[in-house]
Amino acid sequence: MRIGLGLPTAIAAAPAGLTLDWARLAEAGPFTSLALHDRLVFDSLEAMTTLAAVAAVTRRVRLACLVLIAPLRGSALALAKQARTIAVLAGPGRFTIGLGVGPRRDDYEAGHVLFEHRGRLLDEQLADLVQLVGDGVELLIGGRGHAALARMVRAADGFCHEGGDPQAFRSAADRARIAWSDAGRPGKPVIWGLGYFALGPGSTEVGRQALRRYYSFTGVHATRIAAGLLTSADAITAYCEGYREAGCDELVLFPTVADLTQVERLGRALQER
Amino acid sequence: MRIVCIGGGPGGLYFSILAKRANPAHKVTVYERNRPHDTFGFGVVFSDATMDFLARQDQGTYRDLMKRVTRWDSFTVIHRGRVNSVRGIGFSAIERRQLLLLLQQQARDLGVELLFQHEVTDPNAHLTADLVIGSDGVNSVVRSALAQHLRPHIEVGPTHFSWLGTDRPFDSLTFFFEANEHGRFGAHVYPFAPDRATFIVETDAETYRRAGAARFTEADTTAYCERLFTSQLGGHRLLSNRSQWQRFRTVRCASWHHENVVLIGDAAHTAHFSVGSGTKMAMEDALALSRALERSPGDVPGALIAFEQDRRPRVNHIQAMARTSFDWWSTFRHYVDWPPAKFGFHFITRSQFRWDTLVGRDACYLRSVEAAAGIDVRSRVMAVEPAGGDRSELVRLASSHPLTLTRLLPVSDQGRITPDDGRLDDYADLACRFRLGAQLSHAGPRGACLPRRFGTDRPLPAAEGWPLLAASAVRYTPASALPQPMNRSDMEHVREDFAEAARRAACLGFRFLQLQFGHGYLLGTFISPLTNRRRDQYGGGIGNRMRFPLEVLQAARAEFPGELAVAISATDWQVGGLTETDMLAAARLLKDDGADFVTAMGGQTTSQSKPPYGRCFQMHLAGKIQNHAAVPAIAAGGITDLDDAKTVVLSGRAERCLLDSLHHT
Repeated sequence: MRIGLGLPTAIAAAPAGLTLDWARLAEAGPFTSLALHDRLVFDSLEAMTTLAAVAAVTRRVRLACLVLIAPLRGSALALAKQARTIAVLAGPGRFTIGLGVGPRRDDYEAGHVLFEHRGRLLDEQLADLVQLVGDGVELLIGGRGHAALARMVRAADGFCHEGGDPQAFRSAADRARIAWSDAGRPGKPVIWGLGYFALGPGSTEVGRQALRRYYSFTGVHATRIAAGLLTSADAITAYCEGYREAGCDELVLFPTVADLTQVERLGRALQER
Repeated sequence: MRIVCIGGGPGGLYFSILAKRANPAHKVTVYERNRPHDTFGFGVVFSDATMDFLARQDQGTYRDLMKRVTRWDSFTVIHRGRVNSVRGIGFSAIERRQLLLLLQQQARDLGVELLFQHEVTDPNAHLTADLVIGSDGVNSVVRSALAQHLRPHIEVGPTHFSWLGTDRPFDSLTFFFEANEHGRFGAHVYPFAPDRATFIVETDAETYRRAGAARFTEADTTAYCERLFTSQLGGHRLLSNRSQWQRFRTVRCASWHHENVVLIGDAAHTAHFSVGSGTKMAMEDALALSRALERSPGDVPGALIAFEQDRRPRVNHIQAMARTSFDWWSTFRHYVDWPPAKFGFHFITRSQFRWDTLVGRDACYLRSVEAAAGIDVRSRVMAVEPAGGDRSELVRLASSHPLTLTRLLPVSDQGRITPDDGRLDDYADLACRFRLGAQLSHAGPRGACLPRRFGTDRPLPAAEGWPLLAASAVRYTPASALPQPMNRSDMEHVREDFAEAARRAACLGFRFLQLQFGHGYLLGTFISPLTNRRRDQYGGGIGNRMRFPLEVLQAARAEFPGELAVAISATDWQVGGLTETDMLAAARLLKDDGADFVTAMGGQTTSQSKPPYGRCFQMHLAGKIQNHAAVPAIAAGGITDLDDAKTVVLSGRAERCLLDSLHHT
C-alpha cells in the first residue's frame, strides 16, 4: 500500500505560500502522492489550479484530486482540457483525477447547477471525458451509492473512498471489487482511501475543530468524524495496517493543522511503523 | 422560536427536549392525544450499536436510559422443540411506558409544555408556529394533511400479526415457530424486563383465513395464541393491549418536509418490527433534526432540507433491510418443515447476518450448523476464470476447485462482446485435463465493444464494429449502436450456433455447460420486460418472453450430455423490471426444458440497473428459485470466499455457488 499526503488547502487561516512549501517538502519523501479535496462554498483553494501549481514545483509525487465535483465544472470538453493540461505539465503518469457529485446542496446552489441533475450531469460528462482525457490519467469515481459503482465499472480505473474507520473502508472496497468483477472487468479496481491526522502538542483540539468545521454539513456525523482524527504514531500505524489489510492501494493522510511541521511529524510517524 | 410537536411518542418528546436544551428561549409545545400513563406496545428494543450512537451524541439521555434498561446478549430460535442459540448479538430493552415517563419528566424539567388528551385533528391550525413537527406515528394526521406535498406511499404487508405480551421470563431475544391445523405461526419475543416480554404472533394470509382470526375478539386472540404456544409459555399467560390482528404498513414519503412542517419517526417512515428499529429511527431523527436546526439558525426550511438529506440514506438502508426480513416472514411456510439447524441458520442469515459477521460472535454456534448439515461446502464452490487472467490462472483455479467455469465464450463471431473474446477451442488441451465448465453466450446489444480493460460497454469505432441483435431495437447505453430486432431467420441461426457450441463443448471434454441468458446479453433481452417490446409470440407475458430462450436451451440440451445450468438476471435491479412471480415462472420453465440448475445472477439488463453490491448481495434470489420454485439453484454475485459460500449453501439457498473472481492480495 502506498501512502500519500493531503495538501493543506482547506484549513482555515493557512498562511499564503504554505501549500507550495508543503508540496516541496513532501516531494522529498516518503509520500507517493499529494492530494486535495474540491469544494465550492468553503474557504479553500481551487483544486485544478492548485494542482497545476503543485505540478510545477514537484517532479516525483503523483498528484490527485479526491474528488472533483464534476457537475459544477461545466462541459466535459473544458474539464478534460484542464485535466489534460495538468497531466502534461506534471509529466507522464503523474495525475489521478477522482470524480463525484459531492453531497452538498450549497455548492450546487452557489454554482447555479440543479442539485437534482447532478447524477445525470456526471454520467454525461463521464461518457465524453473518458474519450477526451486520454491514456495516462488515472480516473477514479467517488461516492457511496450504487450509481457511483456503476460509473466506476463503466469507465473508470478505480474507486475513491470518503474516509472512515478501516471496517467501513473494507466494506466499501469489497463492494467496489464485487461490482468490478460482476461487470467482467479484468483485474481489480485501484482503490484509494483517506484519513485525517494532527500530530504534536496542542494539535489535537485544533485538528478536531478543523474537521468539525469542514464536515459541519454532515450534521450529527461531524462529531464522529472529528473523533476519528489520528493523533499519534500508534493510531496512524493501526489505521494504515487496517487499510492495508482491507486491500487499499493508496491511502492519503490529510492534515488538519496548517503548519509545515505536520509534514515532518507524519514522515517520522510513518518511519516508526 | 415557537415549536409545536404533534404527537408525544419517543420521537416528539425527545425532539422537544433537544430543542429546549439547545435554546431555553424556544417555546416548545407537545400535543399528545393519550394520557401520560397510557401506552401501547409493551417494550422497546435498542441494539448495542444504537446505544453506542446515543452514548456519543447525548451522554445525559444515554446515562438515564442505561439505568433503566435490561441488556441481553443472545438470540434464540426455537423450532420443533430444538433450540438454536447465537451469542454475541447484544441489545437492550426498556418498557415503553418507562421510556415515555423518563422523556416526559426530562421535557417537563426543561420547561416544555406537555398537553395530554389533546388530539390534533387539523394540523393547519398550528402552522403559525415557526416549526411544526409531525411526530404522530404511523397514522399521522400531519402527513395526511400535507399529502399532496409529501406524497406518502403506504405498502400494506401480506402477513397478519397481533401484538401481545407475556409474563414468562426470557433470557434472550427469542423466536418460536409452531404449526396447528390451520397452518404456520411464528412468534417474536422481545423481553424488556426480567418477567415481561413483548410477544408478537405473525402468520401468512392463508393460515389467518383458515383460523378465522378476522372475527376474533381480543380475548379470542389471546386464548388462541395461548393454546398454540402452550409448551413455550410453560403455564404463563399472554397479555393483551389493543391486540387486534393487523397487517404491517410500510410508510415511505417522497418528502418528509414542507415549508415549516417536518415529519419524524413512524409518521415519515416505518420498517417491519423484525429489525427492531422504530423507536431507534424516531430518536435518531430527533437528534439529526435538532443538529440541523442548530447549524442553520433562523433558516428553518434550509435546516429541514439538510435534515432530510442527512437521514435519507440511513433510513433507506434500514428500510431495505426490513424489506428482506419482512419478506422472510411472509414466506417462512416454505422453510418451516426443514431440520431445525438449517431452518435456524436460514432465519438468522435472512438480512443482517452472514457467516463472516457471525464468526466473531459465536463460532461455536457456527460449528453446530456445519456439523448438522454434514456438507463439505468446498465441494459446492465453482470458480470462474477471471476476465483478464492468463492460462496459468485458470490452471491454478482448476487445480483447487471441483469445477471451474471459463469466461464468457461467444457462440459466433457476431455474438462477441469485444474483438478479444476467446473461443471454445482455446480450451481444447485443458478441457480434458481438468474439470472445466464452458460459459456460452451471445452478446446481443452489448456486442462490438472495446476490450473491458477500457471499461464496459464502450462501443468500438463504427468501422470496426459489427451488426448487433436484440429482442427489440433498444440501445444498451445511449452511446451503443442500435441493435436489430431478431427475425425468424436470425433466431434459427442463433439457436443453431448454441447447439453447435454445445456439441463442440461436449466433444472437447467440458463437464459442465452454463448458458448466459441474463446480464443484458442476447437471450436476456427477451426475458426482461425492460428490453423486450415485441408484439409477436416472443413478447408480452413471461411465457412468450421465455419462448426463444427455451428454444435455445432445448437445442443446446440435446447436444450436451453433462450438467447444464442456465444463468438469468433473476432481477433487473431496476423499477419496472422482472417481477418475482415471473422470475419463479422462468426458473420452472427452464427446469422443465432440461436445465439442471438455474444460476441467479442479477442486473446489467440495462445500463440503468443499480445492483446493491456487497457480500452475497443477491443470494436471496437463488434461495427463492431453489425453495419457492423447487429448481436447484446456483448463487452468484458477491460470493467472495468460503465464508460466503457457507452462508449460501448451509442456509439452503443454493446447491452451489459461483465464486467472484476477486482477489485481495
